[in-house]
Amino acid sequence: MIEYKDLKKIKDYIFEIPKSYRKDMRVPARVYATEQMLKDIGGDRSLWQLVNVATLPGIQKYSLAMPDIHEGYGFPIGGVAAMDFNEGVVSPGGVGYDINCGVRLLRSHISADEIKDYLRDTAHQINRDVPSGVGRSGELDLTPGQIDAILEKGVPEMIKMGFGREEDIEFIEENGCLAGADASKISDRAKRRGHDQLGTLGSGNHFLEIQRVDEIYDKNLAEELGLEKDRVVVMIHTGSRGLGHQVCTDYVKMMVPKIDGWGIELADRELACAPLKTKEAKDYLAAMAASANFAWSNRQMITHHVRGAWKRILEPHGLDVTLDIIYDVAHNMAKVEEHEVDGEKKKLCVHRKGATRAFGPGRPELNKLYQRIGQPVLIPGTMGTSSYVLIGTNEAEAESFGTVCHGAGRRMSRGEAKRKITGPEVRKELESRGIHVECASSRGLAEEAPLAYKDVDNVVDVVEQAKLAKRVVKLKPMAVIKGG
Amino acid sequence: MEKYKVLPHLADLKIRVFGRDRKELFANALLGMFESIEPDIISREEHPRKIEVSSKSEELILVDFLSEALYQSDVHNESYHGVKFEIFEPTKIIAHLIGYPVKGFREEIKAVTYHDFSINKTKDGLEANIIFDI
Repeated sequence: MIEYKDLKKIKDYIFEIPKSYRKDMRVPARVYATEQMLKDIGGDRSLWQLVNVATLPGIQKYSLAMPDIHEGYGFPIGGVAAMDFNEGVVSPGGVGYDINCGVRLLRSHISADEIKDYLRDTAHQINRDVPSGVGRSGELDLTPGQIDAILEKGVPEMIKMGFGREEDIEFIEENGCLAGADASKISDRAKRRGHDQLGTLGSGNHFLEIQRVDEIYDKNLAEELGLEKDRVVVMIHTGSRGLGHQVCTDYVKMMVPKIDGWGIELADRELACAPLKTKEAKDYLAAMAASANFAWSNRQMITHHVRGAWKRILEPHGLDVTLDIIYDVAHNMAKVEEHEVDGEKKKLCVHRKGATRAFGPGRPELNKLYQRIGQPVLIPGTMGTSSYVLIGTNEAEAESFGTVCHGAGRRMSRGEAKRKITGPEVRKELESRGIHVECASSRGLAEEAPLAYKDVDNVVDVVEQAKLAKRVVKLKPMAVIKGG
Repeated sequence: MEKYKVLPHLADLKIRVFGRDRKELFANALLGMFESIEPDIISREEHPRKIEVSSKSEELILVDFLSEALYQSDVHNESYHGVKFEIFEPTKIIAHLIGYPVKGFREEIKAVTYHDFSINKTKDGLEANIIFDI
C-alpha cells in the first residue's frame, strides 16, 4: 500500500510519487489533491494502480490522477496517461468498458419558477420516454446498415435520421463523430448488444437531471454560455451501453495473449495494451472511435426524447420549449492529440479514464465560440448535491494534457452505502429539499446516495486552485431520473 | 461447501468463488455472477443456451466463459444459474447454460475483468477472485 509519506509535494494541490518508488516506473505518478484527500485516497489501491500506469511503454511526463480518483481495475478511475504516438501503446482498459461514457448539458429557455408547477409531470414524462435500468431496450431497432452508418458517422447520421437539429453538431466534442471510426472493426456480437440500445440510460451512476443554475462565478462566461441564475438545464450522463462493453471485452481478450510477443511486461493484466504502430492498436482505435460515435448518438437520441417530453408537457402552458446543447463531453476515451512535451509539440495518444478533456481557448478542435472562451467542462455531482460547468484553461494543456476531473468520485462501496442509508430515506431527504425523484429502485437510490461520494465542491475547488479549469456556474438538481 | 461470497470493493463487484474441481468452480462462478446482480425473473421455464468458448490460457478461460455468459444474457434477456458441460478442456469449453428469461437485473455488469484475477488451490479444491465492472 502506498502511504502518504511516499508522496512528495510539488506545489499546492500537486503531489508526486517519484520514479524511484518502483524500478519498473518509466515516469513519476502525479495526483491533484489536498492533503486530506490524499489521506482518504490511501484507503484504497488507486495510487498503486496509478504507479502501474506509470510503467506502460511510451508514457510521457507522468501518469496523472485527478482529485476524484478512486480504485478501478487496471487504471484508477480519474486516471490520465499520454503515450508517445510512435513509441507508446494504447490500452483498452485505460479507456474502460463504457467507451465514451460522458455528459451532455442542455440549456432551456425557461426559469426554475416557470417550470415549478410542471416539474413532476415533465420528469415523469422523461422517465417514460427514456428507458433506464438493466436490459431495457429503446424504441429504435437498428438494421445492420443503420448501425454501421451510426458507428461510422455518429451524430450527423442521427440528425439525418430526424433525431436532432443541424446546429446540435458543433456543440458536441468532435462534432459527435470521431475520425477513423470503422464499423468493420466491431464484432457482430457487439452490434447485437447495441442494436436496440440507442436512447437508453442504463443503470448504476447513469442519470438524467433537471437542474437550475444556482450560483454564477464568472458572469461573462456564463453569459457566453447563455446561463443566468435560475435558468433550467438538463444534464444527461450515460455512455455506449452494451456495444461499448463488448468492444472493450473483445479487444482486451485479443491483446492479453499477445503482450509477451510485444515484449511488454504488465503490472496488471487489465492494463493489456498494444503498441500504437501495430494492426491490433489501429483496429482498437477504429473500433473505439465507432463506439464513441455510438455513445454520442445515444445521448443524441436521449436528447430527442427529452425535447419531446419538454414539448408535450410544457408547450400547452405557453412556455418556450427550445432545448439547446451547451456541450457534450466524453470522460472515458483515448484520443490522438498534440501537446507540448519538453518544449516540443508531440503527437500523443491521451487516455482519459474517468477524466474530462478541458481545452483552453485557441484549440482547433473546438467550435468558434469555444475557441474564443475555452471548452465547457461538465462535472456532475451526486444526487442532491451540486454539478458544475467549468471552462478549460491553457494551463491545463501545459499541466495535465488538457484534462480535469469527471465527477465527485466514489468514497464508499455500494454495500457500505446501503448499510448506512436506505433508499426510502434518500428519497425522503431529497424530496424534503424539493428534489423530485423518478427511480423505481430503492436500493439503487441508496447505492448512489450522496454520502457514498466525495464532496464535489472540494474536488472542483482543487481543479480550480490548480488552474486546470475555471468555475462558471454551479447547478442544483430539481428532479433526478435514474434507472436502478 | 460454500459456493461463492461477495467481497467488499469500493466501486465494482468482487466475488470469491469456490469449487472442489474446475467444473464446479466454473459453475459456481456463473451462479455467483448472476445471483449477485439479482435477476428479475419472468418465468421458471428453463432455457438452455449452447456456448463455445476458447481461450489461450487455462486460467483465463474462466473469465472468457463468464464474458460469454454475460453476452448471451444481454442479447437474450436471460439469467443463468446452471451449466452442463459437453466439452471441458483446459482451453476449450462447449456447454449448455441453463437459465430463465428475465425482465432485467437490478445491477448491470458491464464486463468481467482480468484485474487481480487468479485461480488458486486450497485444501478443499480451488478458489478464484473475480472483479466485475459495474
